Amino acid sequence: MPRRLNSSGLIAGLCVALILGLLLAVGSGPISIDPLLLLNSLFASSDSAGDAKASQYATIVQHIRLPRAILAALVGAGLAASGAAMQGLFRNPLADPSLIGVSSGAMMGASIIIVLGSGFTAGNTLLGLTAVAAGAFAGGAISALLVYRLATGVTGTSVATMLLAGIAITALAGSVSSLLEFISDNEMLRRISLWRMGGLDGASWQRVGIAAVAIGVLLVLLPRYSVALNALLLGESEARHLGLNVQSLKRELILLVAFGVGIAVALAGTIAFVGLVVPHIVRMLIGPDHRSLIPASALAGAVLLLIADAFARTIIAPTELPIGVVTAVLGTPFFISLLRQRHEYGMR
Amino acid sequence: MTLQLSGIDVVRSENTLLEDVSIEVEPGRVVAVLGPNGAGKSTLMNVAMGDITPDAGSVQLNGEPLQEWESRHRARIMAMLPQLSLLNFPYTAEEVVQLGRTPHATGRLVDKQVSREALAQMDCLHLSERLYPQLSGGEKQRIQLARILAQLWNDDIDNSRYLLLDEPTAALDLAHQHQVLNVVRQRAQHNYGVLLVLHDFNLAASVADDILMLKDGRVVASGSPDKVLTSQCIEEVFGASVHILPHPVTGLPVVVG
Repeated sequence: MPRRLNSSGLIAGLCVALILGLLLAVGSGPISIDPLLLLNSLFASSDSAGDAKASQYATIVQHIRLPRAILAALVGAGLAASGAAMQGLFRNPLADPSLIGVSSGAMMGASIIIVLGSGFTAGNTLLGLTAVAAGAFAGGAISALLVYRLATGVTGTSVATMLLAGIAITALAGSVSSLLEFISDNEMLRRISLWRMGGLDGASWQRVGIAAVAIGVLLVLLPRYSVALNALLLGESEARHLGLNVQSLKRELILLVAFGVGIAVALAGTIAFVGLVVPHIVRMLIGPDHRSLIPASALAGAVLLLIADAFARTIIAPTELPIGVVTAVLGTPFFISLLRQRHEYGMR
Repeated sequence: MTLQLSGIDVVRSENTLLEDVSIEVEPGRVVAVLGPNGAGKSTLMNVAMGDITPDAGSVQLNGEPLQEWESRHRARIMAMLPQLSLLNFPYTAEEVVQLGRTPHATGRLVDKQVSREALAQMDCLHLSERLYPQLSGGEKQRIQLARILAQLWNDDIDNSRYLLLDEPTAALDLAHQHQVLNVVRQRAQHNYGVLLVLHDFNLAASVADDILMLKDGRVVASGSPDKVLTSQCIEEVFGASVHILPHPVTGLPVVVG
C-alpha cells in the first residue's frame, strides 16, 4: 500500500514554508536582521531622516534582498513546474530541462544575442534583457523540439535516445557558445560567463517584473494541461483514444516548457536539477496526479531556491557562491541515487 | 448504427499489411479476429481506431466517416484495450481506471463511482489501492480493461458503443480468461459492438458471433464459428493439422491439435 500525503495538506504546508522562506531569505545575509526589525524595514521609507540604522535596513531589504528573494521564488517555481510538465510529457521521471539540452540551448541563444546583437541591446538595459531572454527562449525551444524529434519514433519516445540526443544537442550548443566567446570582446565575455554560472545577484524590481509576468503566464497555463498530462502518462495512443489531440498537446507543452526554462535561464542563468529533483520528490509524496503535482512542485521549487540562495549568500559571506553551484552540489547525489533505484520507477 | 470498415488497404514501405479487408461490427455482436502472427490483426485494430489512415477504403462510425467525429465525443462511444501498456508512473490502480473518465465531464463523484463499478466488474476492487507498476501482468491487463469499461460507462443504455480489445486474454489465467469473456458477452447484451483479437480458437468459438480469419493481410474466411473453424480452413491459414470436435455441453466447435 502506498503511503501518500494528502495533497491539499502538502500544498498548504508549502504555502506556509514559502512565507517562512521569504522571511528567512530577506532576514539573512552579511547583516542579519531579526524578524521584528524586518517587518518594520519592509514598510519603512528608506530615505526617512530619523533613524540611520532603520533607513539602512530599509534600503537593504527593499532594494536588494526583497527583489532577489522574489526572483528566486519565481525562478524556482518556473523551473520546478516546467520540470513536472516535461517529465509527464516524456513519460519519464528522469527528464530534466538541463539533461535534454534545453538549458544549454537557451544559453546558446542568450550568447548569440549578447555577442551578435550587442549593437542594439547595449544601450537600453530593459530592451537588452528582453532580447537576451527572447534569445534564450528561442534556443531552448529549438533544442527541446530537436531532442523530441530525434527521440520519437513509431513506438513512442525512447528514453535512452532522448538522453543521448540531449548530450548531442548540449555538445553542439556548447561548442557554438564557445565559438561565440572566442570572437567576443571583454565586456561580452564577462556578461556571458556571468550568465553561465547563474545567479540572482543581478536581481532588480525590473527583473522581478519580467519574471512575474512570464512565469505568472506559465503558472496559469501549465495547470490547464493537468488532465491531459495525466492521460498522456498512459501512452500516446491511449491518450488519443481518450479524445485528446496528442500532437498539438505535445507541441504546446514543449513550447511552454521551453518558454519557462528560457525565461528562468535568461533571468538567473543555468540552475541545475531544480526541475528534476523537486517534481520527483513531490511525486513520491503525493503521487503522479498533475492537478496537485504541478502546483505543489511550483511551491516546493520556490522554497528550495529561496533556501539555496540564502545558503549561497551566507555560507562564505561576504563572497557569494553562484546558486547554480549550490543546486548542483545538492542535486547530483540525489540524481545518482535515482539512477541506482531506476527499476523502482519503471526505467529500463 | 455500426462500425464499418470497407475495402481497407494498408501499405507500408511496399509491404501490403492489409488488402481489401471489410468488416462490420454491429452493436450487440461480438466479432473475433483470428490469424497467425503478422497477419495484420493489430493493424486492423489500429485502422478501426483511426490511428492508421488506410491507403484505400473507409471507416464509418454510426454512418459518419471516423475522422469527422469530434475526438472527445468519439472517445465516449469507442475505446480500445492496447496489447501492452507502457504506464510506469506510480498511479494507484483506481486512479488508472479513473483516467478512463477523461473524455467525460460528469464530475469527480460520478467518475469515482463509475470507476468502482468498473473495478468490481473486473473483480479488481481489492487491487484499487495498489500501485499500478507493482501489479502482475494479468492484474495490469484487468485494470486496463476496467479503465476501458469506465471510459464507455454511460447511463443511456440505448446508446451504441464499441469496444476494441487487442488480445485481452493474453496474460490471464483460466478463470480470468472466462471472466473477461463473460464481461464481453454481457457488454454485448448492453448494446456494445465488440471487436477482439484472440489467439485461442476455443475462446473465440465460445464468445464470438462472427469470426474473421486473416492471413497475410487478407480475409480468408468469415462468418459464424462453426462455418469458419473447420480443419480445412485452420490448416490453410496456420499450416497445422487439427481436429474439430463438438463441445460436450454447448455443441460449439472445439479445436484439438
